Parts: sequence; C-alpha cells; structure tokens
Amino acid sequence: MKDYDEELKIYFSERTPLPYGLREQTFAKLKEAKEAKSNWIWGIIAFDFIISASILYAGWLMFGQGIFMYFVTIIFAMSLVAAVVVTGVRNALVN
Amino acid sequence: MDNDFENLIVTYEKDLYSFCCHLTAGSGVNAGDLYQDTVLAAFEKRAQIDFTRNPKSFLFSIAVGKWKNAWRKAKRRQEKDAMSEDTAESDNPETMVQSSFTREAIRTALVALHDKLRIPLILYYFEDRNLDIIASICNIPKGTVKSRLHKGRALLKAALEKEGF
Repeated sequence: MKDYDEELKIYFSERTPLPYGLREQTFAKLKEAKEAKSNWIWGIIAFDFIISASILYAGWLMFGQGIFMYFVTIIFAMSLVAAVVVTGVRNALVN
Repeated sequence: MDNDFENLIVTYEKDLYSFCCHLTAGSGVNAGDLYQDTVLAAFEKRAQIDFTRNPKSFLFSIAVGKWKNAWRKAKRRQEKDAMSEDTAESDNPETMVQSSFTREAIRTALVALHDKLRIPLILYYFEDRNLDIIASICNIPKGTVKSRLHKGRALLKAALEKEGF
C-alpha cells in the first residue's frame, strides 16, 4: 500500500532560498535590536546617576556639609556601583 | 556569543525559511515576516540556546510559537475582511517555483490539514523523523505526536488518492 513517504521526503527535502535582501534586512533588524538594548542600559545608568545626584544636591541644600552628607554620599556611591554591577551581570548573562 | 548566533542563523537560514514557508502556506501570513520574527525572538532568547545540542530545534520551536500567534491574527483579519481571503497565494514565488504537479498536489493536501496534524508532519521530515524532538517543539507527549502523524498521513493519503496519485 502506497504511503507517499518517498514523495513527502522529496517534497520536504527541497529548501526554499531566502528572498533577495531578506538576510540583510534581518541582520539590520538584529543590529537595531542590539543597539536599542545598549541604549536602554545607558538610559538606566543615566537615570540612576540623575536621581542619585538629585538626592545629593537636596541633602546639601537641606543639611549643608553635616553627617547627613556622608550618609547621602555613601548611598550615591552604592547606587552607582549597584547599577554598574547589575548592568554588568545582566550583560554577562545575556551574552 | 553574538557571532555564534549569527553563524547559527546563517547555517540554518534555508531550513528555517523553508520551514516558515511550509507553515505559512495558504494562510495569508508572509513567510519572510515569520522568519524575521523568529530570528529576532531567538536573538532575545539566545542565552537559552545550547549550541552543543540541537539549536535548529530551538529555532523551529520559536517559529511554531510565532506562527500560532501570526495565524490567530491573520484569521481575525480575514474574518473582519472577507475580501482579503487567500490574497497573495497566486503571486507567491514559492508557489511558482513548486510548479510540479505532484508538489502542488502535496502542497494543497498539506494546506488543507489542521495545524495540529500539519506541524508534526512537517517537523517529521525536517527533524529527521525524531519523535522526541517533535514532541518537545510542539510541547505535546510523544504518543500524541505518533497519533497525530498517523492521522495526518492518513488524511494526506486520502487527499492525494482523491487527486489521482
């Protein structure tokens, strides 16, 4: 009894070539996706920096150079380090 | 890792694109769009790719997932606009290339099959008849793969016999 296995094997063994330009278009989109991701990471670092600097400035305005300023400076430094570490770990995991 | 990924795509681009063509045949969904969506989604998930095992199956499983979403959207569009039924089918270069009568008959019979039967059948030939891989790609038990393959082949056979093959 014929099961058409041979015909199906031949049918599926043929590979359709990529249409002209599809490979280039796909790699261009991949490049865009990579750039969008790196912009996003820099956005987080910049946002973190602005927030930390704002806290520092607000502390300086309110309390001058007292003990609070040491506290705020430590938070500022820690948040920056955290942002860099998180970004680094994330990149290492993704790549 | 990015170079590995690009090499992977270049290595399997013909397989993946052909698979996308088979999935989208007769659906009104563009195979090129499905191919690009699959590559971009694979790029997002590239950390999960095990290059030592079978990365092609990983690409195929993403393609199947993307296809289901695209098909659902296309179906909704077709329901809204009955005029858009089976639009680009006759101008499809893939259709023109597969000019042989047998190929056309197989293609027509495959298009008529339900996705549940068609996808395992396509994968059966694309993945060298490995039922375990088909089960993992379709996310169904191996027994279900077997029964769907059996049913799919029986329907395909009936359709081809009806056409006089």
